[in-house]
Amino acid sequence: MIDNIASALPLVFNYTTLSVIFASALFGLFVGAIPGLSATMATAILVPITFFMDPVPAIAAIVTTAAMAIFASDIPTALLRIPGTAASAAYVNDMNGLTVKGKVGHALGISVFCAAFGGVFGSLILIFTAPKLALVSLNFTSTEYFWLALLGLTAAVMLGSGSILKSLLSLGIGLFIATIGLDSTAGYPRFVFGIDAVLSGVAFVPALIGMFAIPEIIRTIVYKDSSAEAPVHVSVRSLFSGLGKTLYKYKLNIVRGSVIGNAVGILPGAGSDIGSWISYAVSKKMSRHPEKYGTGHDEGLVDACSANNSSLSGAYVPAMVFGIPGDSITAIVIGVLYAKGLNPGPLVFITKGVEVTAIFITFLVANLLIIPLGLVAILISRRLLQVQKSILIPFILIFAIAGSYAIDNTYAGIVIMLLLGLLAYFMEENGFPVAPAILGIVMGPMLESNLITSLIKSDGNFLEFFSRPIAATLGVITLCVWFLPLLLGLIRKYRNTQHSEC
Amino acid sequence: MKFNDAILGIVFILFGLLIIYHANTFPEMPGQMVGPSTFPTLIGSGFLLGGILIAIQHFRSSKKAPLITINEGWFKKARILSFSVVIVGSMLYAVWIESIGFILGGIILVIALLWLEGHRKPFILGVSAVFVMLVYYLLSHQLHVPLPSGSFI
Repeated sequence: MIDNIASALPLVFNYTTLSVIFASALFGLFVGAIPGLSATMATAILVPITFFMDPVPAIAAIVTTAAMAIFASDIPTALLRIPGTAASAAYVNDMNGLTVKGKVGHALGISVFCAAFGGVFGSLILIFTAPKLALVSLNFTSTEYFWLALLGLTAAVMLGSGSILKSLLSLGIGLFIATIGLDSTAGYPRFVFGIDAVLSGVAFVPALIGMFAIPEIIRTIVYKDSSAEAPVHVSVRSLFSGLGKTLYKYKLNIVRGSVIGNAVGILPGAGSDIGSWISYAVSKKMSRHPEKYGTGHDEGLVDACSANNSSLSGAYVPAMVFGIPGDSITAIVIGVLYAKGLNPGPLVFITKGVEVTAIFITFLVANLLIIPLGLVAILISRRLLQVQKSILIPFILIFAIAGSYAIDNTYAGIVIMLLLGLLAYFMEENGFPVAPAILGIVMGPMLESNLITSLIKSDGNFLEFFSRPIAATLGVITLCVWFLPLLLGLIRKYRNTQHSEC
Repeated sequence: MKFNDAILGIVFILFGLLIIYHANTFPEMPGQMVGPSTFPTLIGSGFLLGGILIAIQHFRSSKKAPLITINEGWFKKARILSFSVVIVGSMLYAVWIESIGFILGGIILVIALLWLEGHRKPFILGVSAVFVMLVYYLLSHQLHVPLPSGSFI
């Protein structure tokens, strides 16, 4: 470990990596602060830029962009009452409530410091747990991976926004897209219909870019939901006045928010938006003043602002160790890791230990940078929020096209990007969340090949899926998550009818 | 463009049936119960079941949404035009990207969209064109992303 750190430091603290981190930080702050442009979309359009970089700066770019964007989304939340990304939606009333009370500096001050603390906390958990978990998972076989993949997808469906049924169907759409192309066990071309471009499968990066960028482009140009409210000015002094006192008063909330956010992040499929919702809800439940929540109270802010940045780093634990994305951003990261030869999985910690350590160090650097750069972003926020989204749309489109083309130098990538973008637009319009579909596309091949391998090994006997201790535990947990809510509901219904009959 | 759940249900049922039907034409693996058709058949069955459930939910609920709800933006010609430029323009750009090149195609697309969105000041359009060139230079020369230069330049 110490050796690794010593060799990893020069990989991070060199001119290239540091300038990439700095540039991505500015990009992340900018995109995060524009309402309606999500952190995931920022990451997706960043992919082409990272294609041909070395692994460490490439991942550093993504980590920094996401961390900054999640923090910066608090700026329009406070000033315009519009969350910059979904991760700030949980506390929009409190954040803007403080602004209405004339305490905008206080709200954003909390946001900066809690985001940095949560981020650093999450990074430390990642640094210390991931290598240990990798050692355990070295013994995993196809059965364990099958259950793990299924558990991850289940968590994504259960915890996601929208109805469970629609999330499940969205997951099915992703899994179906993943089956297109040569099948992994018998090499038979499925659902190809003579189109050579999809013979090796629907290219993953164009799919991601399209599904995140195109719906936002369409909504911006067709719906034109404008928010032309002049934001107030934030002064340096107001950012710091009373901040230390508040942070000290709620020191336990900061830690609690970071822990909950991180745990949600580690859960495959659930990202920072869910982390911030859950920690806000827990904070409200445990607070002495739950009635003040939603009216411009700072307690819930402390919890949730720490949680969303903490969950970002948490999501990298399953992504690096098992190749199972913790949220939609890490789904993109997994694609980039494969492209860089850093195939996620337990072995990467052994064969590429130095690079992995270097990537982890960039987490710390990125999250610490939130404080200075975040403060600057807040101070120029008035200018930042005056940028019209419609002027950015053409450039997002150009980046999306460049990224989809560059993946394998054919126009097929661009066509896939556009078609799946349209599909994602229709899905979101009709209440189907896109995140489960993305996870389906990423994890479909893994889920299928592990299922088929396990079925062949067990000769069709499903009990074999429970024959190894870890597999059995994972299997039972997954089945519990599936059936327990259903069972509890039935019991409650039965009891109610009994009561009413009495 | 929001369809009501009855329509969505029917779409999923039909799509599920199509997948199952097509998956059954895949060859089996000799001596195995499972094969290339197993997973698609599972997904198809999921769509079938999910489609039925969505449709049932719709018919059971007392509040019936209209068959189709369309955002008012879709009735405005100018916005439809911008939308078409995004989709059709990008498709054409994609197909001809090798011959017209990233820069020229990109500049045309960006300026067309900015113009349609009402950003028509020469300064903005000029800066945008320079920005596309800068993006090309950065991506292809600094970051080695292979983007076509086109046959004109």
